[in-house]
Parts: sequence; C-alpha cells; structure tokens
Amino acid sequence: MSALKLHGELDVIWRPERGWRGVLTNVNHSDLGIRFMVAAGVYFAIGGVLAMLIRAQLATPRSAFVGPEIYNQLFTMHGSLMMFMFAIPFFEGLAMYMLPKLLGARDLAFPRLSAFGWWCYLFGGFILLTAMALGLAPDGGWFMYTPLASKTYTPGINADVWLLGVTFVEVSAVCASIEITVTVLKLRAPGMSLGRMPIFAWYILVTALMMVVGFPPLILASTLLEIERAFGWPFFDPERGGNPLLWQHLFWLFGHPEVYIIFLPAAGVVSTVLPVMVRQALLGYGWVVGSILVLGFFSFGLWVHHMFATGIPHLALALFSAASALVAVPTVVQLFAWLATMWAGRPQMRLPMLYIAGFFFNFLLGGLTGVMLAMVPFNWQVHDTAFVTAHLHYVLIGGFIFPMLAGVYYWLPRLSGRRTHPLLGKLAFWLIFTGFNATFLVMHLTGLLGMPRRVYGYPGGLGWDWPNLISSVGSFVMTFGFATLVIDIGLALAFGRRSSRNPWRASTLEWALPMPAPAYNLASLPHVTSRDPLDRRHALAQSLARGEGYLGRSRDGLRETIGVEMASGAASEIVILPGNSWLPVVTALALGGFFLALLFGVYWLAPVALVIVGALAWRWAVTLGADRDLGALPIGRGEAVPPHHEAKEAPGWWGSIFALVTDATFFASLLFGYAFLAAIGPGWPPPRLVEPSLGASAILASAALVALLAERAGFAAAGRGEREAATRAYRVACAALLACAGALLVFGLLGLPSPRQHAYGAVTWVMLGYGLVHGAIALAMLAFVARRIGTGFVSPARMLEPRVVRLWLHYTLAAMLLVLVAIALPGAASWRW
Amino acid sequence: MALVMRLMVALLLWAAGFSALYAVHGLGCGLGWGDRPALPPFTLLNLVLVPLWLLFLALALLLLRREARRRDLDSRPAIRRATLAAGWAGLLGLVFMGAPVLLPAHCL
Repeated sequence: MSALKLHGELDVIWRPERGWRGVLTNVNHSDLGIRFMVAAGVYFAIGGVLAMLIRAQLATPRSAFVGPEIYNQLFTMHGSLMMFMFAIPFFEGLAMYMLPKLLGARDLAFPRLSAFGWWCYLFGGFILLTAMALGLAPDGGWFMYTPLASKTYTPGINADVWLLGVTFVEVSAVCASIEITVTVLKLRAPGMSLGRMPIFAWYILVTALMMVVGFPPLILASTLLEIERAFGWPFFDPERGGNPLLWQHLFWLFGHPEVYIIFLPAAGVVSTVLPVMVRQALLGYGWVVGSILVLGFFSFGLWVHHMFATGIPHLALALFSAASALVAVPTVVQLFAWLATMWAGRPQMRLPMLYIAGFFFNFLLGGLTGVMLAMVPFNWQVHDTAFVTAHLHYVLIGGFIFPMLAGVYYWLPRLSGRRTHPLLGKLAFWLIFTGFNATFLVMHLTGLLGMPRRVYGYPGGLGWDWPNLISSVGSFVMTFGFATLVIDIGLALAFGRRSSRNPWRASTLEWALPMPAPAYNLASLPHVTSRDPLDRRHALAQSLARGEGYLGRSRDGLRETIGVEMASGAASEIVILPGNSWLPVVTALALGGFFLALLFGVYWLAPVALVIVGALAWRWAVTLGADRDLGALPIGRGEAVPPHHEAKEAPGWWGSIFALVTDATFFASLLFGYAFLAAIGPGWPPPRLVEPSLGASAILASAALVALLAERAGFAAAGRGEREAATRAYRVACAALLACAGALLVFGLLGLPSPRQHAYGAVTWVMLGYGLVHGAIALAMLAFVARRIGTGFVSPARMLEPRVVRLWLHYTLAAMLLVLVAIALPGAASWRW
Repeated sequence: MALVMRLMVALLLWAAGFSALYAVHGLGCGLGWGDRPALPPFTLLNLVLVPLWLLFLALALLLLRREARRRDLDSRPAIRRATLAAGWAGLLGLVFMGAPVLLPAHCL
C-alpha cells in the first residue's frame, strides 16, 4: 500500500471532528497536549503579571500601590497559579504530546480520560480566575495554613475558592498521572524493553508515580478543611480536639514531593536535549535511571523540613534534616552524568543548550541553598524570610522554567514544523537570565537582612530599600525577556522557515513522524532494537509511512495501537482506543456542578451532581468493551496477538491498579491524620469513645465473606461461559455488599458521636463516609458486570471487566473492615488515656 | 511488573523503614515512652527505636546482597545498574536518615 493511501485511511479513523463539535469532542493526545501547554502558558502570563504587581508594591518602602487585602490576594494567586495552573499542567501537556511519539504509540492509554482531565483543569481554572476578577480570590497564601484559612479568620468565600478550585484541578492531575503511568508501562513500540526506553519516559514515569501517591494527601486536606468550613467539623480547631499542624503535615506530604514532581520532568528534558546538543549519548543511563527512582522515593521523606519552626521534637528534626540533605545525592548523580556527557561530547551552544547552561547555573544555586535550608539552625534563622522566597524561585525557575524553555525550543520544529530566529531567541534568553538573577540573587541578601515573606510594605532604613528596588527592576527585565520569547515563538509560528524532519539529527522516535504529526502519529509502528531507534536507520521514517511496521493496515475503522509486556517490550495485545466523544466534557461539567454547588453553599445540589457524574461514568463504561471473541490477530512481522479485551493485563486493568493506589493513599493519609490527632491532638481523649459493636462487626465480616464467595463463584461461572449462573452470583454479591454497607451505616448512626463536638467524631464520620462511598461504587460495579454478562460483553476469553471489578470489590471490603477496626480501636484498647 | 517492583523494592523498604521510625517515634513520645527508663540509661523509646532501625538495616543489607549475587539481569546492564543503585540507596538512606535514633533525647 502506498504511504498516501494509508495516510488517507488512518486519517479518517483518527482525526477529530471539524468545527466547535471537534473542539468539544476531541480526545487526540497531540491536540490535548498543546491545549494544556497553551493554557498553562496563559496562566504563567497571568501569574507573571501578578508577580509584577507584587514587585511594584515592594520596590520602595511604605508603598501605597496596593493595600494589604489586595496584596494578600496577589501573592496567594501568584503562588497558586504558578504551582497548580502552570507548572504541573505544562509538563502534563508536554508529556501528553510527546510520550506516544517518543514511545512509538499512536495515542495515550486512555484518550477520553486525557480529555476529561483537560476539561477539569479548564473549568477549575475558571473558578479561580473568576474569583480573582471579582476581587474574591484566595488570600491565605498558596499553602492555606490553618487557622488563618479557617472560617473564623477567613469568613468569606476566598478560601473556599482555593480549596474547591484547586481540588477540581487536582482531579485533572490524578487522571494525568494514571494515564501517563499506564502509557509508559504498556503502550510502547514492540521491542522497546524498559532498558531501551527513552530517558525522558523514565523521568515522566517516576513523576507520574509520584503524583499517584503525592496528590491524595492534598485532596484529603482540602476536603477536610472545606468540611470544617462548611459544616463546622473541627479537624484543625485545637479547642475541639483538632490540630492546625495536621493541615501542615498533609499539605507538605504533597507539597514537598511536588517540588520534585515539577523538577523531574524538567531534568528529563535536560537528559534528552543535552546529549543531542553535545553529539554524545547520555553516559550512565542505568545510574541516572536509578537516581531518578531514588529521588522519587527520597522526596517523600522531606516534608517536615517545611515545619522545622513548629516546635516538633529534636529527633524528628534530625530525621528530616538528614533526609533533606541526602536528597541532594541522587540529584548530583544526574548532574555528574550530564557533565560527563558534555565532557565526552562536542557541545554546540545552540539555543536549547544555552537554556541548559542557564539551568546548570541557577539550579546549582537553588540546590545549594536547599542544602543550607535542610540544616535546622540555619533554617530557623531564615524561616519565613525572603531568603526562602529566593531559594524556591531558584529551584522552580532555575530547575523548571529554564529546562522547559530548552525543551520548547528543541521540540518547536516537531510541534509546528517551523524554526525560530536564533538572534531573537538569544536576546530573550539573556534578558530572562539577567533579569532572573537580578531579581532573586539579591533577594537572598534581603532575607538574610531579616525581611519577612508576604509583607505588603516595609519601613525605610532597615537596609531593605536597595535590594528590593534591584529585585523589582530585575523582575521587569525578566518580563521583557519572556515577552521577547513569546514574540519569537509567535513570529516563528506565523512566518518561520520550514524545518526539516529531524533538524537536530536526534535519534529518538518522535523525529520519525511527519511534520506536523498526523492524528495517528505513525502509519505503522516500528520494531525497536536499541535506545536510539533512528541511529543508523535513516530510512525508518519512510518505511513506517509505507506501513512496513506493525499495524500497517487499518482494520474495521478502529483506532489501534500495540500494548506490550512491561519489562521485555514484546507485543502482547492490540489496544483498541475509543474515538471522539462528548462524555469527557459533559462529565467534567457535571463534576463542575458538584464543586460549584459546594462553593455557593447549595448543598442539596451536590449529591444530585454526583449522581449525574455516576450515571455518566456508567455510560462511559458501557461504550467500552467488545461483544465477540476475536482471538489472536495478525499485527505484522509474522506476529499475532489478541485485542486488549482478551488480554490478561490490558491497560484498563493497570489503570485500575494505579487508581486504587491513589485511593489507598488517600485512605492511608486519613488514617495518618486520625493517628496524629490521637497522639498529638490537644483535648484528647474525646468526651466519649465509640464502643466496639460485636453485632455490627459480625454482620459486616460475614456479609463481606458472602460477597467475596459470591463474586468468586460469579467470576468462575463467567469464565466457563455460564451466563445465567454468573449473573445470579453477581446479584448475590450485590446483596451481600449492600448488607455490609448497611451494617456500617447502622453502626455509625447508632454509635458515632456528633461530628461537630470533637475532632474524634469528625474523623470517624469521614472514615465511615469513605467506607460507604466505596460500598456504593463497588455495588454499581458489581451490578454493571452482572448486566454485561447478560448482554454478552463478558465471555471466557473477555474477562477484563470482571477482573477489574474484582480488584475494586476486594479493596472496598478491606477498606470497610479497616474503617470499622480503626473506629473501634480506641474504645477497645485503653489507649494512652 | 515483577521487574519494576524489583527496581523499587529496596526503596520501598527504605520508605517503610523511614515511616515506621517516624510513626513509632511520634506514638512513643505521645505514650510517654521517652520518659520511661527501661534499661538505664536507655529509655523504652530507645529500646524500641534502635532495634527497629537495625532490623530495617539488616533487611536492606540482605536485599542488596541478594541483588548483587543475581546474574539474570546481566544481559540488561542498564537495568542491573539501576537496580543496584536503588539497592545501595535504600541501604545508605536507612543508615544516614535513621542514624538520629542513636541520639539520647527523643521527645524534647
């Protein structure tokens, strides 16, 4: 088949619809990735304007430019937009756009989930921006410490905007993390074993895994604070058994890994771009992979260094100080790998390399001040001063913006098919670099001279006048730099010279795609035999375009790509991806209705919105699956594999695993909060402890056992093709699960204390709610499978859906039992009281 | 997935050890173990935390030794190096981050 004919066939299958309908129903990873990056760029510009206003206010002592109320909103929104609306979504967008191209896949594992995440991000951002335009923006700082953010001290809607808007956006981040993890592990070109993966994919994989476990503590914290503000449940109120430090623990359990979640993708860009710029393969690939993993783990052991000044015991200070210092080691391993690669290669100071050089300088300074801040005595000295502001900007701008700009310039030809003007790009770099250092280098001194953070004004004569003025001038220079960069890219997109297919002579797969990339990426998928697939295979792009690789023919108008065995990269299934759909945008709108109902206090509407979300999720699941067995299908190169419905470890299975990991982290964070309050909280023991109920425990345990056995029987019957027996067994499992939930509910209604009187009651009610919500979800899933068996979507070969539901059922039952034990434990044991 | 887990197992052990030390420390201080002399001059909290730390160190050492002796990843040198790097990091991380449990005062 000719390349042109194949392109025509695939384009019809994969392209989005035209017009506004296409905008709303598009699920293509390239389009969504670009949307994320552009929207994040817009938020960066807004955050940048807010920064200019902050610097204008601080340029001179006793400034009357803005008052304290507006100033509080400015710095809160600046931090929140930059962290939640710019940094994370930007690299998500880059990963969404690049990963399938780098891995040799046609799309991400769950295209509709990507689209759903996009709409959640957009709508969540609207909530924040609208509030800001109305003067109701959050004003408690980007980390929203309690009690300042509690109802007593922030009585208006401002804090609710943050808690609900950011949580809405976090839904998007969680979706992206699961999507990316499964894509990297499962959707690669055949032959691409773990050891042959592009290094960028390793960085993004570890980042996504960190997000899977990093975001739930923040979502929990926001949920608890919103419940406290809305209904008066005292999680953080020390007068009723709560503790404001719980907020700090939960926030920084997310907040510190967040720094590395932002840094790692940027380091991935450096590890990808630098070897191309120095014409030398990355040295120490294995050690770099090891250090990425180590960094990912160690970054979760540092959160308390944000709380060194809160009066925690010395041993805890020492544990976290050691961890905070040690995390520099895996970072430095990567730094030495980059230096060695440069040493062995022939560096060419082209624009991406210039930004990487800027990264080295700035990030090194940020890293060194980070080690200084890890030392407790120094940390105490500069706590909450401008020194910390300077440090975090060196880490985030130096460690994220500079590498990302290197990536933007490196991949712009891939993205747009155009090249930028080198002179304008260099001018932009020098303005940004000079302006950045003028702003923040001197800010270390301002902090050491004692100027606190987040003050809207200061008196003259304290030695802060000149440093502040220099910082303000520097920040405006930096802004000119960013404006020049935007003009440069805009001119390139409009009038730039056309780029050749592989302008940097790189060896990774994304450069084998046509320019610009078609919706299906690759007309056929390559067989990968090395870490540099394009190295010495110059005709690969043309060969793939002619359909000479895997899946070189379209089949039944389906969107197909290949799923692989994780470690070896051997082809294991054909993954059939869903097409354009209204479901993502409609589901995100319904979820937005839930958040808006909470924001405006229309609480009766919130469950209605959730029911609509549930109905849409059901519809979502109904549109998936297959109603006939196909067996192994030829994929080219003499190989044949089954479609994913008939595979054991399909992407949907792994998606469920990682969704459950997220869920379990949320639950573990809740249990941590419970234990923390019980051990440290003031006003404990509570006035009344829950008495363990033998009756409830017996009913719950026996009903759980029946649910397990019935599901087991149903699963086995479905596996034998006995539809009626399977449906009956799943219905029994539904009834047993209902009994479990009922026992838990009755136990709560009869035994739990009021959630408003004491934090003990509040936490136990939240745990009970967690168990009941999961019971409802598992119930819907069991009912769904029973129906699918009846309608022929499950067969002995197609057992994916029962397998997924089994996972959720087991988790739900374990969680319910754990909830019961956790609630009853303090009453059963004499505890410390 | 087995290989991915093998890459991470030493670091998961580190995470478990670090969490266990911090959790037992918090609970021990809450329960007054830091003030309760058990085997003078050691407190009850000393006698719980130090053996716990040593237990995790021993486990990390065993894991690393086992990984270093295995030869099935010799054909995938990059993954072998990454596994060894993670193993060493798990062990040294536990040594360095857990060493403060040797300090005499825990709950000040």
